Order: sequence, then C-alpha cells, then structure tokens
Amino acid sequence: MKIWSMILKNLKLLIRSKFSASVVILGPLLIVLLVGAAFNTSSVNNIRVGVYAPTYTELTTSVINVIEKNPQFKVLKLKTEQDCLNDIVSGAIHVCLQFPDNFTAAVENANIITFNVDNSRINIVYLLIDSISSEISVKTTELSQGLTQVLIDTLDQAKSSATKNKDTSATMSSDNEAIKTKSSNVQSSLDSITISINKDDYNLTNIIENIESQCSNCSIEELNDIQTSLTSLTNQILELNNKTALIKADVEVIKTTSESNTQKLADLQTSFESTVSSIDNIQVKEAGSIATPIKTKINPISQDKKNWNFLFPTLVALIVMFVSILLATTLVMREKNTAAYFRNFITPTGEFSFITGTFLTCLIILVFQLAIIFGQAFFFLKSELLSVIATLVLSLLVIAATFILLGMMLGYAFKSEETSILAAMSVSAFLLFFSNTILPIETIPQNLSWIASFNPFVVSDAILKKLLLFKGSFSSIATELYVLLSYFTVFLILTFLTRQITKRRLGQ
Amino acid sequence: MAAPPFIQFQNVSKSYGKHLVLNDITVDIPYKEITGIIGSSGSGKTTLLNLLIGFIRANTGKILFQSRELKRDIKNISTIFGFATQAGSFYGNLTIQENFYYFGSLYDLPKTDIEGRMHELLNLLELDYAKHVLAKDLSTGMQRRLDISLALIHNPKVLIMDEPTEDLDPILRKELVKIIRKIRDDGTTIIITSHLLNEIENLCDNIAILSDGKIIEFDSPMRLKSKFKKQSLDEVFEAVINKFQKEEGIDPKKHDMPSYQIPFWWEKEANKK
Repeated sequence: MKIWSMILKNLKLLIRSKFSASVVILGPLLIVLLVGAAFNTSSVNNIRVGVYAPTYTELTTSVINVIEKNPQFKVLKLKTEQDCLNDIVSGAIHVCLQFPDNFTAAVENANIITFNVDNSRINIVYLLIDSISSEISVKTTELSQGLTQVLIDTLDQAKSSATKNKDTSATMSSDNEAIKTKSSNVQSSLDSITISINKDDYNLTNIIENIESQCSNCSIEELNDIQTSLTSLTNQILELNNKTALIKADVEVIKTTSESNTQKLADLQTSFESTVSSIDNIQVKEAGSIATPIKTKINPISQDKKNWNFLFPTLVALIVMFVSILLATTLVMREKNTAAYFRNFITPTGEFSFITGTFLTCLIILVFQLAIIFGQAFFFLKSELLSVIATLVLSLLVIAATFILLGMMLGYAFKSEETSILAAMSVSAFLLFFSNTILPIETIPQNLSWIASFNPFVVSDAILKKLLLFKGSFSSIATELYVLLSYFTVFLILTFLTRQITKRRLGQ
Repeated sequence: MAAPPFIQFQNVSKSYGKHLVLNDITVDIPYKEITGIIGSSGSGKTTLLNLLIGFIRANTGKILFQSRELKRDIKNISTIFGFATQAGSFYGNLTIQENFYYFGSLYDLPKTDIEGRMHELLNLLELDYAKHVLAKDLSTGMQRRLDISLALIHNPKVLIMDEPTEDLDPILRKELVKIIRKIRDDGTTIIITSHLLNEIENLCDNIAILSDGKIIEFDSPMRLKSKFKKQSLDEVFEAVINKFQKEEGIDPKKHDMPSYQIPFWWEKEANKK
C-alpha cells in the first residue's frame, strides 16, 4: 500500500512536470526512432574521395572509373598533392588517393597507390580504407590475371616445343642405333678378311733361282719383271693390310662414339620427358587462381546485414544506462528538493520502503520505454526476440535495476540538482568511454582494459549482444548476470547509506 | 497526586561537531496547552523540535513522553507527533486530496480512515472546497492550513508548529491563530516556535525563552511580564536576553557571526604566518 502510493505519487509528479516528462520519457524514444532511421543500412554513404595523380595514365583512369562506378563514392580530382591533403583537413573529402607518376602495373615504385586519411576519425578510417581497397582490388586482380595468363601461355609453348624436340631426339637415337649396328657389321666384315703375306713364306729368291735354272729360255728381263711384279704385289698386299687395320680402328671409334651419342640422346629424351611432365604436373592452370591463390570469404557469425541490427544491443544498453541513471538521479533530487521530503522522514515508514518506491517508479518507466523500443524492434528482430524472450526480460530487469540504484545513489550523494545531474552525466560518460562503443577496450593498456571489462555498461552490452545477436542461452550470460547482481548489491547498500547521510544533513 | 508532565526534557544536550547547539536543556511541556518557544536565530529552536520528533538524537539527556523515554519507543514517535513546517511540507504538484491519500498511506491509515480524517480536517481548516486543486496553486494562507491539516492526519497527541504565522498577512494570521486554538480545544498539545512575539503572547499558555542553546525562562506570558515588570512579551524577551548575555559574558555584536571553520591545513598555514 505504502510503496504503491509512493509509485503513484512519483508517476503523477513526473507526468505533471511537462519538461521532465518530455525529456525523461519521450527523449529515449526519439533517440531510438532517429537512430533506427539513420542506421538501417549496411554501408557507408556519400564518401568523397579526393584523387591526385601527376599524370593520368590509362591505368590511373581505369582505377578511378572503378571507384566512380560505386554510388557510395564521389570522386574529386585535385590539382596538387597539397590540395588533396588540405581538403582532408578541411573535411571537404574523406580520403585522398595519391597515384605515382606514370602509374603502371607491376613496375617497382610505379605501382603504389597511397591512401591519405585523417586518423583522428579513427571510427571511419578503416571503413574507408576497406571500402576503397575492395574497389581497387577488383582492378588489381584483373591486372594480375592478365600478367599470369602471359606466363601460362609461354609455359604452354615451352611444353609443345619440348614435346616436339623429344620426338626428334627419339628419331636421332634410333638413327644412331642403326649407325652403330652398321659399324659393327663393317667391323665384323673387315675382321673376316685375312690377308697375311710373308715374303719369306714365298721364298721368292728360290722361286727366281728355280725359274732361272728351269727356264733357260727365259730372258733375264722377263724374270726381273716377274720379280718386280711379285715384289710390287707383296708391297700392295702389305699396304692393304695396313689400311684394313686403320679402317678397323676407325670403325671402332665410330661404334664407340655412336654408343656414347645414343646414351646422350637417351638423357636428352629423359630431360624433355621430365620438362613435359613438370609442366603437366602444374595443377593450377587458371590465371585467376594463380593471381589470387588464396581467396578470403568473410562469413559473419550473425547473419543480419544492417547496421541497425548490430547497433541495437548497444543502443538498448546505452538507453537503459542513461535513462536509468538520469531518471533515478532526477527523481531522488526532485524528492529531496521538495518541501515534502521532510514530512516523509517523520512518518512511520522505513527507509527501505522509500528506496523501493523510487526504485520501482524508475523501473516502471523504464519497462514502459523498453516495451516501446522492443515493440519497434519486433519488426526487425522477431525471431531473435521470441527465442530469447524470458532470458532477455530477466537480463533487462537486472541491467535496469543496477543502473537505477547507481542513479539513486548519486542523487542521494549530492546536495544540489545541478551537481547531481552533472555527476550522473559524468558517470554515464565515464562508463561509455571505457566501453567498446567508442573505441575497443582492447586498445587501452592491459590493466585498465581488464578493469574496464567489469564496467557495468560493458557487461550489459555483452549480455544483450549475446542474446540478441547470437541467441545465447541463460548459461552463456550467467557470469555477466552475477557481476551485475554484485553491483546491484553494492549500489543498494550505498544508496541506503547515502540516504541516511541526507537525513542527517536535513536534521542539521 | 499531580499528573506527571506530558513531555519532559531532562538535561538534553546536542552538538554538531564542536558546535554545541543545545546545552543541558531541562523543561516540562504541559498536556493540552500551547507552549511557545521563542529565541533569536540560531538559538537552537529547530534542533529542539527535531530532537522531540526523533528526527535527530540527543548526545546526552533524556526526552520523556508520558514518563516513557522516547528513544525506547521510537516506532511510536512519529504517531505521537505531527509537524507543521514553516515552508509547508507537501507536494505542490499533487492536489490536496492526493497529498492526503499519500501521507495517510505513509501513516498506514486505511483509505476509509484517510477519507474520514480528510473530510474532518478540511472542514476544520476550511479547505474542503479546494480539495481537487493542486497544492502549488493554493494561496499562502491555504498552503499553511494544508500543511497543518497534513500534520494532523494521523491524529497526533502533540502538534509541533515551526513559525506557523511567518509570511502571512495580519488577516491570515488571525485566522490561523483561531484554527490553532480550535485544535488545542480538540485536545491536542501544541508546541509553537515563532519570532512574532505578539501572537505568541496572545496564543500560548506557556513560553520558553531559548538563548545560546539554553532555556533561560519558562512560564506563562502573564507571569513573565509580571516577573520582569514589562508591558509586552517583546520587552520581556529583550530584558531576558540582555540579562542572560550579560551574565554569561556574551558579546551581542559577535553573537550572530557565522560559525565558519577554516580547514585544518589552512589553519596550520595561518598559524605559521
């Protein structure tokens, strides 16, 4: 009864104060509506790309054309390199692409495109580089494929030439074999000719003497002629013998050389076979596959493609954090600043009832806002929401409860409304800065990063991402919920203590 | 045998840090009478009232209600006392009726009891016709009456009023005095603090004069005037305060100086110089 009266009173006071009602109740809904409309897309838009090249080669123009074809980009050609850099500083362009003089593919130092970016816009710089690089990489792949195709064609020619030469060497090898056979035949024929004449075997002197004794009618001249003929014949036979020996030696050399050549031709043939086989063994023969031997495919573990889907869990965590802290601080401060605050203290009502009353009022308003937000989101995330509805409701209640108590604690801790609102904003901003929303917490030093991982906003964000993007189960978020429940307990104790302090201050 | 005093302060002292606000207060508040507490600013009037309603605790001494020590009966303190503040302790953005329902529920009153009591009090304080008006839209006199009615919602035995006629025009003051008397006549003991000594003189049965944390006089207005041979309470108050300050050696020029304390580190630096 008491707590219900408090809730009713708080709601009436809030609604009757038009400014508070509009800021606290309608503000977050307006944010969600605007963010929903703004981020319901999957890409960056209207990116102004500055281009500078000392000379515009055919390749430069074709790269620029590739970028221009994408409606996301608007290309501006700039006259000087300095203009290009100045325009980034002034914000006229998002990125400056600088081409080298005589931009040519595959020529060292003449094939480098320089990206000039504003690193202070760290949240967009990698998105820009990625988007433009992907456009340029299409052209790069095209060029690379062309160059690789030339190499492949040359290899094909080498293969057909080697095949032809292999056949020729085979023919030569068989011819050589024939020469070797013929040589062997000649050698054996020569070996079979035995011409061995020994002048002493014929005893020509005795023959002549016999002829002289028996042939009295023979004239000496005739005998001399016979002797001379015989001597000549003997000499010719001797000469024939010598020449035959020489021919045999030559045939032997031919045979040996022929054998050696046959071996060399066999080696040559093996070499051609090996070359052809090596070319045949090249498995990838498509230029595209050689130009980009490894192809990457990004497979998002969450299938949704719009930024809204990725942003939604963080947006909900952000709204719950800001609204809870600011609403609770505002409610407590308004209560503290009313003249009626004193009368509350002198009634027989426990401190815990007042804390519960304010807490539940904030929770009701937050539930109302979340109902509207998730009502909108239902159109985008119907299946995701239905599959995790129970865990999601529980998690949202724990998240909201934690931040409401933090806000109430701040409300009780500070004296004036201005300082308490300032403190609430500062604490919210602090929690936001040390989270993954602006910069990844991995970018800060390791010790701080470890502490930041316990930031209630980071924990809340992690819970909502697990549930809304990955349809996580209760067990997957149990640790995070325990962390938040620990914060809840600490903030509850601190809220109670700070309220006691305000009571003491009021008494003084 | 005489009835025991209704409320008794026995050697009550209260200090905030080194600053002694109430110094050994001993006084009896009679039943069904209007007791006025007067004193200069910073004399400890509000602290005395806050001690009585249990909003703060005394450092030493006892406060007895019908011979029972109040701090032992802490749960009932809030039902014994009703408190009407100078500023008006209600929600401006709630109507009179809503304020009644809200504060009635804090006193654990059932809805029917709240409605009955609201009807009774609004008639008594002539606010019945405006019960659906937002409290912030009421006139100053009506707001003061609303605050008194809220202080009486749980039918307390003692009504404490801190400067009830402050900021009111003479006509409204007269009306309020009439109402306070009516409440007293209904059987409620009333304790009032005020700077407006004429009204106190006309309204109160007893007057306690508080100075520098001490009750230096407690008697009926008539007897006080007679004791100090003065025509009005104003003159009595001046005479009493002057006498007390003379006896205690208090410099009246320094009396209202704010008791600001410089930080300890600054004090050390100043001493070095």
